[in-house]
Amino acid sequence: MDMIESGLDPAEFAATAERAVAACATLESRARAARLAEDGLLGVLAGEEAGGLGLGLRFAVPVLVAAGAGDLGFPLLETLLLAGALEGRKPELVAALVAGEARGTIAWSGAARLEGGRVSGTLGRVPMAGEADWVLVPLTDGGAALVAAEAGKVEKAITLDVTVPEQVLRLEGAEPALLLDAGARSVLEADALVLRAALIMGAAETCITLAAEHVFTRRQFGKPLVAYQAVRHLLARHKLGLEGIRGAITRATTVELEEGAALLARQTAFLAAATHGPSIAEGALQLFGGMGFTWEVAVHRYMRRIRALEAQGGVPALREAVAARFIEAA
Amino acid sequence: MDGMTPELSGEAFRRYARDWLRDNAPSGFLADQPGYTPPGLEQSLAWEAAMHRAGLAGITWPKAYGGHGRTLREHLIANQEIGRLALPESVSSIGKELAGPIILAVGTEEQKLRYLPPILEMREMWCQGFSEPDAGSDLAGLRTRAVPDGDGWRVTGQKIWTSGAYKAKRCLLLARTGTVEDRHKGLALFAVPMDTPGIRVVPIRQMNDKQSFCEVFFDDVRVEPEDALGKPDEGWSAAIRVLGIERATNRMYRAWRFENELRHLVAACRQDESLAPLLRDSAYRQRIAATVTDIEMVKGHVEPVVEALVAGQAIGARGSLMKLHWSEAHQRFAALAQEMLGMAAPDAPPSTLQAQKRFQEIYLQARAETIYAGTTEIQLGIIADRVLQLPKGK
Repeated sequence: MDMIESGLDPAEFAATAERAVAACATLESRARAARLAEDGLLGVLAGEEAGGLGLGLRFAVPVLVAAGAGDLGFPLLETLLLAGALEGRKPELVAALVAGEARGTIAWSGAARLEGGRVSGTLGRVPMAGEADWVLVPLTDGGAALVAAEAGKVEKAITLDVTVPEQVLRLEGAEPALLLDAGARSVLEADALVLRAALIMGAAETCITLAAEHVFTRRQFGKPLVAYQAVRHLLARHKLGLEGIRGAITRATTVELEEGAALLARQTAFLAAATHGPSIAEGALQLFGGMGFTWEVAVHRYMRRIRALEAQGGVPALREAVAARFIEAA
Repeated sequence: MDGMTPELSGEAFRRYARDWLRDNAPSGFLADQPGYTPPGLEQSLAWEAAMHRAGLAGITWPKAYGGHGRTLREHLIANQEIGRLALPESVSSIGKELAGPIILAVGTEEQKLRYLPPILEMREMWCQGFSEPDAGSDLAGLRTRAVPDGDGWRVTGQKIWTSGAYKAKRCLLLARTGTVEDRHKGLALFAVPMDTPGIRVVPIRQMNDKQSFCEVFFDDVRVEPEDALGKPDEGWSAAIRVLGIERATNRMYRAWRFENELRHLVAACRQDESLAPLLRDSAYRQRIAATVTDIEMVKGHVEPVVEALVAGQAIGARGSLMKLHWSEAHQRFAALAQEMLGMAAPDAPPSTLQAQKRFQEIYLQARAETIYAGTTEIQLGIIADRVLQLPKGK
């Protein structure tokens, strides 16, 4: 509906995002925000009064697919969600995020305590916390708090991701700049599932492209690898998984569904990506043979990123939630 | 009742379909309800004819040929509602899903008027004479010959895996007019009456102890000119195009029926004190969630295809993606159901016994799902060639 109203086409966002992501590859980390902001990509979900575009998730999906496909070293998912969630609550900050002047991120693991109006706790899986100005932190009461990153201590984390590395944030009595209630947080987390699926899909698609190029050029036993049925069928299975993720995301963002079904579609879009994304990347690495085990061949970067995104979404807990609701309703 | 639905669409059509099915589906037909009695052939024919009259079958076929002239959107909605209920499979799927759409694409006006309404009215069932003992997945290896005989043809050869041949009125027969070396050239389609002299049907006992598919022998069978579907070559190449779309639009209810089955499995476990603990076991809960994910992914293959087709876009080989994902996921689920229901105590309640019976049949039938309508290996080949467009690399 938003497309008809705005006259915009999500496909155009894909093309713009691909160009911007490619340009970011040669930029320093801090300059990437400005480059992405230049094309309006940081404000897809933010309100128009703050300089955003105020569009739906299905316009954010192609942007994140491009980010995943191009190995973008920027917490784009977090920035888009923050700018959307803070709309109407922190207009200046939203404007700064959309303009690429402020940097934000979100902690995806752990929960802080809110005691006497102050926030304390250890948060994990905080993408690029060391470069952020603001961090949205989940609270034990189900809500979330926005805190200044400098109010806490950022530490290196053990993470596979070398593209948007996760860090640990320790807070001791930090003053929240804003509190979100549990309802707002669960909306943000449900949106995050779809966008994370989009990032995984983009990364997985690049893995298939790289592997397909490799098996066409690499010759063994007198013919290119692509001539072997074992190789063709493996790639076909990866494509099946990839298109399954795409279908699940499309369904979650474009098909009109009742409320419960809409949440399930978001959850399963991510579960589809978390199920098939890793095997696509790992399978692509296998197809590269020994070269796949080198730093130079980029497949490992995508594989690392996909595994980190999978962990950020909390697969076992999400499956438990999906099962609980299905069993209850059956 | 025909003609009462054309003005309905979207949610209004969905409510109509849901209410009609609830009010009219014979209670004994539902495999997840107490009192389930599998319907006989006559009951199935009557039921499917009633569904057609109510506007829930032949939805996209033109009105001139007995259809309802609606779009794939209504077809999808009807399928979703049919899938939600544990209704029996169609006894005329070859006619409705294969012969009908091919005749719509390549038949003459006279053929359409003659063949199509009896399919929807459940007066004539069809069988599919494609596979042969030496040509299963590789139809280019067909040996059944059609040689000119005056203005018509004479057919000699053998078909196999011909589902429902013993009850079929007509056979959609694929035969070659040239030599085996011609491969895909010179293949012709015919609509052969099954009571023509020279046709012999031999049922095959299946591994699920049913007799559905058959061997069909053609011994110098005369085929009248008006029963040829398109010219040689023409009929078959058009049929291939039709099948690409049909693979994506047939049995769109599958994802929703799959959901019905999972719901039945969970409900049966809950009603049985020996099985209820499984629903609290996190390993089984994770597998149930993985099954829900598969079901949603199959829906994700189905629903966007409808919008693409309605918008006039080509869908390429997307039907292969749906068929492959569904058939393999359904096998995984069928094995899960066997495992869970297999843990029931010997004095299990009737609800468990009913579920065990249903899911045993589903488990066995599911083995066929990765074989029929293009095996898994064929689907992977199609995806590699036509979706990924991998070069052959010779």
